Amino acid sequence: MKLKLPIFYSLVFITLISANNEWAKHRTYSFYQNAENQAQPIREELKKDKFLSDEAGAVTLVINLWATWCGPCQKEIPKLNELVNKYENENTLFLAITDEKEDDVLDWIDLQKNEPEYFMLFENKRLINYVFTINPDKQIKKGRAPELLPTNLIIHNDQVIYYEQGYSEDNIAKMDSVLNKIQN
Amino acid sequence: MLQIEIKLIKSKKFILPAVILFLVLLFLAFTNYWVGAKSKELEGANLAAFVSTKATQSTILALFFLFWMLQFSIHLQNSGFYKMLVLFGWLRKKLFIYNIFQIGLYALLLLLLNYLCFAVLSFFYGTNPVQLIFNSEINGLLSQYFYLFAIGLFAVFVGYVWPNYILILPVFIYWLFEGWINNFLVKRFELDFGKYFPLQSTQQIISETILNYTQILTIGIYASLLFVFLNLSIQKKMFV
Repeated sequence: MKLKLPIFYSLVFITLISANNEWAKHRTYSFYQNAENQAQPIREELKKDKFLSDEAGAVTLVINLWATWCGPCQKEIPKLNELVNKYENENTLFLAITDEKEDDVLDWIDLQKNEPEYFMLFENKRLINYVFTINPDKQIKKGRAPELLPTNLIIHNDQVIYYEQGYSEDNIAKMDSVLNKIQN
Repeated sequence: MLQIEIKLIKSKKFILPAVILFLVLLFLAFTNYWVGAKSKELEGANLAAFVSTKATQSTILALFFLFWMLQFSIHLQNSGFYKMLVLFGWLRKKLFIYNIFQIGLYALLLLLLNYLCFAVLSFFYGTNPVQLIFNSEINGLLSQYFYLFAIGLFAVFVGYVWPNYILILPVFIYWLFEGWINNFLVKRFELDFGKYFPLQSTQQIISETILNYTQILTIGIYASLLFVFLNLSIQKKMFV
């Protein structure tokens, strides 16, 4: 019975990791559940950022989840820039969120032909996890798998009114029409 | 066990690497404060929260812990310390428990040493040690401790199987290689199965806010294998 002891310690280790994980989950979701509306956790994160705190009150939030290694996200940048030029104003904030480090992203941007013209939040896994949880389509699994990027959503008056995953011309056209409706 | 460990901690072979480690950690803490205070222009509680998050998600800390545990474990092997314990009548089962205790204790010591570095520098950046404690995420700290424990387990296992200081080099190369392969797969092919590699999956303990069941299962399998292999290497080792 030489395996009894290591198996016992393995079980203790797995139990402790799981317990810590459940505790973290409980704390994170209780924070979200107590939120007044779907936009509040996002606004709270914006308030914490020195450069974005002034934008936390924007009525319309256009959010893009992306990563530098995601090919479709790169293709999407010029299209999103067009939307920024057309619709960005004091009530509309365009925000890209990634879990990568600021320095890595900025180094990557330096090498690109198309530079993103919208605001960015870096290294924010918690917010990315949250944004996945507010997907109205519950069929789509939650997580940060590459096939789920880019994810674009529009929050207007604290409610999600547009949510799509993956890049396509159609999705950009839909975003354009939603933003057009909001502003006119 | 604690008394034996206190005697070991007082030895020159322990203090010298610990001092070097302290200086390295101090430098790492300085870079975190520099980024937080100068680049991000944070101060007070915000700066404390920023540096504590950085500290709890740092893989470099684990790399240094790996080196530290590896050299210490190899030293204890080569100096005949474990052999002496067995000769004094310790059962191999007790030696296994003692090794687990050592890993747990040194992981805790490293966290304290790291906190000390951040606490010392906090006075120079307009925050303080108390703010550091109150702005630390308790789950993040626990995750960091479990991650260090898993890495320590690997180091002690390597120390038992190949008690040679030269082993530090291939272990370091493997550490870099695995990270590089994972990055390559993700960035070049958008494949994320690199997260199932041993070190990458263990790293998810600290890099993910919330783990899913597959991640816990993968980490659990690797940890169990390490516990089993460590136990087997202790059982089969020719101490005499």
